[in-house]
Amino acid sequence: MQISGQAAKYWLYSTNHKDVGVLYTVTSLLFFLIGGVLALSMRAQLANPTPGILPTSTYNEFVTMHGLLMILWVLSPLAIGLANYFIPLQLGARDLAFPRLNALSYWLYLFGGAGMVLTFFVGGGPNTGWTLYNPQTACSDPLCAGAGLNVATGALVLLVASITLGSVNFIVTMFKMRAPGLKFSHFSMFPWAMLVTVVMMLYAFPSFLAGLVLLFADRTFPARLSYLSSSQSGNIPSLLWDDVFWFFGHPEVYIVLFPAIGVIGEILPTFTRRPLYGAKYVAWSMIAAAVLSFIVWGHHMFITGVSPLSTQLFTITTIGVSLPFDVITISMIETLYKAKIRMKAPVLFAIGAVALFVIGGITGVFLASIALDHQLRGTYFVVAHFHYIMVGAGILALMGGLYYWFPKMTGRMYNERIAKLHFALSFIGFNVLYFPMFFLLEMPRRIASYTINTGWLPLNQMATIGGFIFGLAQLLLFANLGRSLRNGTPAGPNPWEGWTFEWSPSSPPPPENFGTIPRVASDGTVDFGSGHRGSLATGLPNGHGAHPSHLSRWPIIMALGAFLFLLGLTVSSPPPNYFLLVPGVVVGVWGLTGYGREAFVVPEGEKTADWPFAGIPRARLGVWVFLASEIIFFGVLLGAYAFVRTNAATWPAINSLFEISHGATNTFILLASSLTAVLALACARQGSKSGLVASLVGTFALGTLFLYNKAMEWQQLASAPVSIFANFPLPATTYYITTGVHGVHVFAGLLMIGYLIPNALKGKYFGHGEETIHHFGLYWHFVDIVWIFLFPLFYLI
Amino acid sequence: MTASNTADLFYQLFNTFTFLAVIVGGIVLGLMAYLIVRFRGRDGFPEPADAPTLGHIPPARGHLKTVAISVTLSAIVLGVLIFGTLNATEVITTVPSECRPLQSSPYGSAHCAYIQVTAFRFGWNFTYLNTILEGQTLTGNLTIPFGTNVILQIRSMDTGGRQGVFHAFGVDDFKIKKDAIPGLTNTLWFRATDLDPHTIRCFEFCGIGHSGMTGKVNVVQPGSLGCSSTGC
Repeated sequence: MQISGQAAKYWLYSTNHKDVGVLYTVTSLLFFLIGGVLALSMRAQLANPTPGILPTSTYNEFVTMHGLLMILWVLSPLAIGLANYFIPLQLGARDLAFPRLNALSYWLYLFGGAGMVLTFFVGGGPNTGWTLYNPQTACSDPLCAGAGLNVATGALVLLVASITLGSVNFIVTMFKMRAPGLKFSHFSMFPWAMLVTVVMMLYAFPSFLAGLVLLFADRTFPARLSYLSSSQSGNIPSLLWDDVFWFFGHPEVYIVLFPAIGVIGEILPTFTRRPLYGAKYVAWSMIAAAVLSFIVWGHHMFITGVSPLSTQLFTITTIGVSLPFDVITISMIETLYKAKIRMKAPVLFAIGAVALFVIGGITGVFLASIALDHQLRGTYFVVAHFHYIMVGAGILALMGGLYYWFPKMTGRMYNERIAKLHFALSFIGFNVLYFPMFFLLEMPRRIASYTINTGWLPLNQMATIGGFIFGLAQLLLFANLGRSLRNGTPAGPNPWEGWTFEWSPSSPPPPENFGTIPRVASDGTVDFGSGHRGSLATGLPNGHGAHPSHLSRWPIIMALGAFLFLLGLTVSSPPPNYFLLVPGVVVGVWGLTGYGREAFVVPEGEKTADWPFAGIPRARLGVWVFLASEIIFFGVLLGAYAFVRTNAATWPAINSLFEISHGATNTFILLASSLTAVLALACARQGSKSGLVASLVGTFALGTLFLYNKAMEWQQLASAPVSIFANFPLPATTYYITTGVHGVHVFAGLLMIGYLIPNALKGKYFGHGEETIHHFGLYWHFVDIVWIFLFPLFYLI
Repeated sequence: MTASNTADLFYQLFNTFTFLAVIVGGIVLGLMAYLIVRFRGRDGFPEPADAPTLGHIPPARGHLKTVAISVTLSAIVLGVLIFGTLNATEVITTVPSECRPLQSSPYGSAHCAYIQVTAFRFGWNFTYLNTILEGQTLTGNLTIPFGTNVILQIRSMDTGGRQGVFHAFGVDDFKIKKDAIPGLTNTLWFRATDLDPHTIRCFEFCGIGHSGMTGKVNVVQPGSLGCSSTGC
């Protein structure tokens, strides 16, 4: 490929799922290199701890960034890259449901990662461990977290936004855009795994976002909004972050693991020449594990002194969650029975990943035992355990996926011999690296140095040797894939004789994937139509006769705006930095407007399978799914409030601090605005333009009035002679943050109306267009419902 | 000979777990290795009848019975392992009844050695609530009586106007640890069963001095702390 202006523009603007998939994959591999260099630096330090090569402060930054980058910017995005490329193909779709939103997800991810790396240059990377434990992250003195943590908070917000949009996109695609006749029971394992993964993402990441909001408020307004570190709040907040973080954190472990299981489930049948054993039960097991994953977070807190009852409950759920994984592992192994295994690199990686998963899983049982956890917690035994899962099972399987799908993505074969060497060195290096750590039962995690008389040196040196073998072996991957891009032998459409749909079109597939959309008959035969191997599909007209678009400049512009905005909010001390904030707003609004006004034609198939959401338009389903994540977000914020409230020694009497009359007035205003929003939809349906505009203006006016009242109340509370911040720190913090976040949602709704009104005047929202009003209405009602919860919680009880 | 009653319990359990882990892991990995060798794609070996082909959704394979059996077996092994350890958990997490504070005797009927542990960045303070060191605070090293139940009350301290942070107090050889959390008091207990010195470490990342946040436990004859094997 020649790097010309044309090509650069293409990659910056492309919304095609395959291009975005390639971008995700390549970017995640670059972050893998960065995270790997951090890891090798730490290994070099620990092999020679006194004096070592890294100052402790640098080591602490590296250990934190290594964790955050590898988990959030490598493992998941590598999986999402493969999913971007292959899920639409495997479903028989022409693209994801919302291609521009998909590009936006990617750019938010990239800018978020850039922000993370930037922290090294603006006050030091976060140095608190990837769990960002409070109060260490919250306090603002020099011994505490580096200034870069503020920027990191912003970068993490971008990542959460990216992941939430991506989850919405994948969920809608999988429910609405399957090829005719394709049932969930027909799915191979990768779509299953990704479906479970994105649903978990949708519910886990909002909890993290809520935590980040608390953290940001705490670090930005330490004197006023310190949920987490206020000295007046005593012991209350200490465990709050733990709960919020691990409610996200444990599902996150499965979020990074399941795509790997999915990839193994693709590779094994193709190379063993047998269908996956008990595929149905593997899928059900993932669903079961996903559900259970939300009620096991307490096992990360066994020695925090939480009540014996809750430790016992969490023990039981933790044992319970290992059973689905037994089913998965056993199914993988039974698949080999009476098979004819073609020993190519992808299957070596897949089988290797299963073997390492067995070791990682078994050692996980040790940690589920509270008695053993009382010793093993916080030691290298834990480090070994989770690296066996995340690197051994996770990274190795995803690399198998890279080799498996490389021929499809590029049209060329990789070099098999180098790939096998890569596997051998990775597998050996991995075990030399991590197995010794199981014997470092006493060595604490995240220490930069230790004395020689501990006896830990030989095992650490062995691990370091393994680390360098593993690390350097990865260069073979880059060299192999890089060289094969040009020099590999042509692959043809189906080099591995796989059965899934991606092997039908040419390699790489044409922009719209299929000439005609595949059809699945009731007996399970798939009709790919004629000409499915050609490049016919380029620029096919869709159902409405318009040519589908694949380029849009607005996603990257919007993401850039969001990046500058968050950077402006976090990079200076004290914030904000208007030189970044203002351009951020300008660029963001420009991008948003352009996005809204662009005539973008989504490439579509013909009639698709859409059980169980038949009859619900795709975009409306997207709004529903998004609001589901918002429920979790507000749920966790209100949960945090409840946590603080129930643990607080005292709380001001009803109607003393927050006057019921204020809240009641605003409740009335907001309920009225819901009514006008309903009217707007009714008018749009009846074709009454003046009615529609009047209802929208009414809604806008009521929303503005609500915010005005709110602002008055905030002002009044903040300027009261008896300082609310000094005397009622916890009520003040919970009140300002919760109603503040709600206020931001109301403000976003007003922006939407600001966009709707001019278009309504042009008569856009009749017929098909009324759907847009419907989407706005759903959002607006949701925001009103949130207030229905906030009002009694803050004013009446 | 282990260093404390808790270490004794830990090793019993850990060895049982390791024994079963090696057996189960060995069987599973051995089976995998066997299957890989047995069913590697040799020339002339027939392609399986249900080999996946493009254009056909593969038929379902596998029996619920097999899955149910494997889940039941795993559940039994796991259940035995975990619930079998509830007794040890109970011992480790519960202060012995003779040490529980009574109205008449705040250090329990047996007058156990009560010591407050206050974690700070980056070290430990030990305040003796009873024994002949009553009221004294030692920094860095902890002196405890041999053979007497010792109850540690673990906290984290705000220092110099700074918010305290999480630490975790652990003694390598006693195989036991507990978080030190700002505003909370967590309890840990054990009985030293040898007279060797042992190392204290911090097991929760707490900042720049985390690596060096160590101390010593000196186990002394109970008499020198005004204690005996039955109390202080």
